[in-house]
Amino acid sequence: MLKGKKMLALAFVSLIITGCATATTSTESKQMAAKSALSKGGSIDAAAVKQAIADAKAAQKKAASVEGEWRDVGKFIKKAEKALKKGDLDTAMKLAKKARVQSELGYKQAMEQRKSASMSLYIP
Amino acid sequence: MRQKLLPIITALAILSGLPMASAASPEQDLKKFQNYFKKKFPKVKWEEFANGVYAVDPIGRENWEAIEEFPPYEPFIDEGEEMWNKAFANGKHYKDCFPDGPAIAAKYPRWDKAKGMVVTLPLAINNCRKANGEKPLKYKKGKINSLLAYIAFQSRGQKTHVVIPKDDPRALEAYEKGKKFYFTKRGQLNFSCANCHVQNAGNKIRSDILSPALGHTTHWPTYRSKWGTVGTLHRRFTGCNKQVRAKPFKAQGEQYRDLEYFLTYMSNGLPLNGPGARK
Repeated sequence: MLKGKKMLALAFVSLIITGCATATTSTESKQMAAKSALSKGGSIDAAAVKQAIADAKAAQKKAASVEGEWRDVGKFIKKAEKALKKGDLDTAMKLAKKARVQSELGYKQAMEQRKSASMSLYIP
Repeated sequence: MRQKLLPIITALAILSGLPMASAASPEQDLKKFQNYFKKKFPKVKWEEFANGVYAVDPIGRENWEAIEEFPPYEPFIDEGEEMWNKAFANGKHYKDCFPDGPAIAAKYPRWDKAKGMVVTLPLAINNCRKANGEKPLKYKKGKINSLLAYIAFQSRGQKTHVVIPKDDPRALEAYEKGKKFYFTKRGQLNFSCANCHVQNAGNKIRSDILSPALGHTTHWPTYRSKWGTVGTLHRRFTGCNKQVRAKPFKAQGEQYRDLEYFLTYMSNGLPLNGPGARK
């Protein structure tokens, strides 16, 4: 009977410990993922993603300065930041790169159009 | 020596003068722009361009005429009339800001020399509100459309008459900026306004027919079935920019005001027929 009670108490204690451990793991893992974890493939770390997002933001600013920003760049950056927080580094990197490339293209387009856009191209 | 230098100096003077000589004046642009559409749609009568796509889309026109029998923008006109007549908290009215009102749509957009900028009707309305201690209205959706609908309705039949004053070079600069905007490709789809509404006006985009640019500014604000309400011209500009996947600009910001200045000037002579109803 005593054995049974001891077993019960042990099981209770272990459940609490496991529960705490699970809770700690879920919150810590997100932070860990954001801080230093590698991507699934192991090739991307959080610092690289942060840099990619910073690059995307700089490119976005440059495109906006010549009125060449594309519609979804801001969305991509926000989503990349969210994915980074969740620890989904592959997605975050992919979105950050997309935002940077689109910004660079938007800048290039705007600069080219500054020279070439003209009414006479449409109405000779 | 002097004789040798003279032809060089003359050639340089001619060359440096060329870009200036080749830049068309607003009057030349206007003629070219309107003639383009007259040639493109030879069967469309001049005033009909004020009806937008329904001047070139006979099937769409039938639907539109049926809609116009019970205009969806009517309640907004009524609400706008109430707004026009209601006194501000300080006892003054819109009439105090716009003595010629409410039929004042043809006066806008206009070049404001003192402010050094293009002033549109929605901007003038909010300037009036602010001057009388009222909160400004939003520029794309909401109550401003009711007031604009009432003013537009009262202004029906007036002719589009945008002036680019010659005594202030900044006015021409604003016009040129608006023109440049109109013909600039932007966004991921790499489209300019003109790609759709000049080059492809009358052609189909999916199941819709693209409206001609001539007449684009005559009927604002407009009840769009897509919106389920009445919206401003700058809301439409925003939508167009988003459709080509470009980041839109701020409603009533410099870019869209200058664009409105150019685009409305291009419709000079067309009758105002707002508020409108569109798909």
